[in-house]
Amino acid sequence: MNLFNRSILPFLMSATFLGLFLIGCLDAPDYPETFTPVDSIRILVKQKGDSFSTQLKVHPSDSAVIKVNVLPEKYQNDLTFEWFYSTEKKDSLLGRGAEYTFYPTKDKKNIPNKLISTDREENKEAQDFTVIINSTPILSDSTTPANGDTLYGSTKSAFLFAWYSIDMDLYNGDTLFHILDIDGKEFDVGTLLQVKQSGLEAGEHKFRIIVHDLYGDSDTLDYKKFFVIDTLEEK
Amino acid sequence: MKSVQAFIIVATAWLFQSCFDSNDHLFDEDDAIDIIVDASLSKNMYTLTPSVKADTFNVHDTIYFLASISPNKNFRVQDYHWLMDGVYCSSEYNFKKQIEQPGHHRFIFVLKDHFNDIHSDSLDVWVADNPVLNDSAFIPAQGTQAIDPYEPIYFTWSAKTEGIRLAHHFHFTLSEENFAYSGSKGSSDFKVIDTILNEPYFEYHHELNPLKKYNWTVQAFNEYNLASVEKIESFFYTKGLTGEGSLQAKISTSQQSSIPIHISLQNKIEEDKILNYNFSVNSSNNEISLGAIPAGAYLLTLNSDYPDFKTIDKNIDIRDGFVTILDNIQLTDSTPPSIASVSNRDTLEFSDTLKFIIKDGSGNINTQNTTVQLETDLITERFYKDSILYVALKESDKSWTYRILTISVSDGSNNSSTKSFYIKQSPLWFTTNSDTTIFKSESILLYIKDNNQFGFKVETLEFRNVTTNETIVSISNTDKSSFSAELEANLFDEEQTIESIIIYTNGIKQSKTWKLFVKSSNTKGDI
Repeated sequence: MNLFNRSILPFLMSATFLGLFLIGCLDAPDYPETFTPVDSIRILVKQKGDSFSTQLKVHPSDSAVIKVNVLPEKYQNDLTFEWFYSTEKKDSLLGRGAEYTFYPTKDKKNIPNKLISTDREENKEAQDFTVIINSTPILSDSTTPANGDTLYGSTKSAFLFAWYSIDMDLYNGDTLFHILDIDGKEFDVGTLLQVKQSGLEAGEHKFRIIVHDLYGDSDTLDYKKFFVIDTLEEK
Repeated sequence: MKSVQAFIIVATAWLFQSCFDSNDHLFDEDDAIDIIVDASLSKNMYTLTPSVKADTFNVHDTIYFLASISPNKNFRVQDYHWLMDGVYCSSEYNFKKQIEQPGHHRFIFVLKDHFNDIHSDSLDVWVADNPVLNDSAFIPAQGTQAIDPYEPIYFTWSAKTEGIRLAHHFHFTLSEENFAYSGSKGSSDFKVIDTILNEPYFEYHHELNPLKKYNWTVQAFNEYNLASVEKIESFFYTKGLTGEGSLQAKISTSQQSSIPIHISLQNKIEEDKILNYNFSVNSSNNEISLGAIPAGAYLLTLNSDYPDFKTIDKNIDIRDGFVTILDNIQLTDSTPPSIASVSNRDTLEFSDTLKFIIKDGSGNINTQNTTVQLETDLITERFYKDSILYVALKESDKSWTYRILTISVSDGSNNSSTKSFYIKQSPLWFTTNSDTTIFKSESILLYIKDNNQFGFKVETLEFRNVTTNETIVSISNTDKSSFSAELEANLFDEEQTIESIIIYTNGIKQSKTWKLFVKSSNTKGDI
């Protein structure tokens, strides 16, 4: 039998293959739902009188609000959030929602350090973070020279400049750095609390101290006046 | 139609047959070629600088990125390119680039071969500018006085690297100034501090010496070890006991050898209070510190053992706790040396050793700064003994005519003198008197006799009193070859120099000087 002499056979074979192909198409998966393109999930914190900042630093004297910010913002409500205090052993749920209020204390168990964001499909993303509790450094108003002091010497005399600063976090590894500003000229004096400087002409001068810690918190004294009398030239 | 059937059958047979050749298409590991890409960076493309995988560069540096492939580049590749921090950077194997963004950058060379296999190698580059050291704001300020040597001293400065937050370290030195003379006794040796600091300040908690000058320097380096162009080079002075100050001075002189100096400080109120200091300075070691001095007004008098250096007087104030600085004392010598023969004459008889008196008020004359020339010939045999310059002449230096000997001397301040002397002809072709002493009551026989061996004819015979510059006797146009005359002693002074002269018809002149002493005592005789 010569199959090639029958003109209907190639047609039937082609139709059969086409049918099988169309049946295969019926088995293709559904098109996925629209993907939610969240660019970023930011964590911000603020305290009374301040605005929210991504610098997760609070001072211990007031309650703080930590919140999550989703970009683009239109997807903020598509996600749910859980705030945890996490250790190596376990995660303790502190609260749910886009914001969480806590009071900075030495006991860090109520200060969140982990955020889990969940979408409608129960996809989760965890973020670890650290909220720094930092006290603002404070400069004592008592300085050498004191406001209105008179110094006797000459332009070459080494006059003592001394000050005192304190920070509650010094025992937790924080460090205070100082700037001595004499007549607008700033001298980085690091962690020193006194220096001797010369170059002051006879007449009125002003100085101030600026202190800042490792986390950028600072304190600045008001300018103090002092007077230099050139006793050596008078001779 | 049959041909179509035959084709299908052959094709089917060939297809089945191919299945039996499958071993020919299996991967054979021995035939594979390992492709290795190697990326490196260098500071120069052409010279033999070492290529490395990581390095630090200045933002102004040009960095050369090099990619090599082994076994070679002669195989089919689909693509190759460089990525800088994950972003396309270049499509060359080798390229150069200047990176202006400070910080760390990762470069990856990526090669995709014919089989879509990816080969890559990476480099790490750290880029920053040199740190900038603030050399105008530091503590203590330059020249600070009255630093308490027994209290801690705090040094501070600042530096930063533009465009990037980098840690810095600092090379700090602190040293005590060395003086040619240091008047204070009992001060302890200060050990130089030379250290690397991680913070922009230094606290010195040990004692310093009072009334001293201390120099300190700082240079900054960032964590890429790039050094600051700026360098702080400053100094300060320490104070002494209450009521005391000090004086530090720089005595400028051009003399390289030591000059003995005396300084006296006379209190202008209590004039009997005088402080004296003796020391030596030279042009390179000329800074002095007089140690503790009671505060007050003084008259400073500075002089030297060497008279060429003139005395300097200055009014100075010594202030309590302060070091008075005098940096403008000029000790100058503008007086050149003097040169004379021991006979104090400029025309000298030939001798195997000639003696000259070289005088200078700076105490610094020696053979090194003395040159002696007999016309164009340099005479090396010369030496000083008791300020007398001895010059040795050789037998071959003799001449039938005058020769000129030139002496040049310079002192320590480069003041120089040059003087020329005539050396009389030698040997003489005549005989005449030598130095002679006679009594006043006697007479002397002056004689001159030609005995030249060349047949020169005598034109003139003459005796001259050099001391009085008078001619005693002169015979011209004579055919005689000798002459003598007896003259009484009372025609002469007690001492004179007489020159016996003979002049030949060919113009050649010879002469000899000798001394005639006329004594009134009983001593007499030829010398």
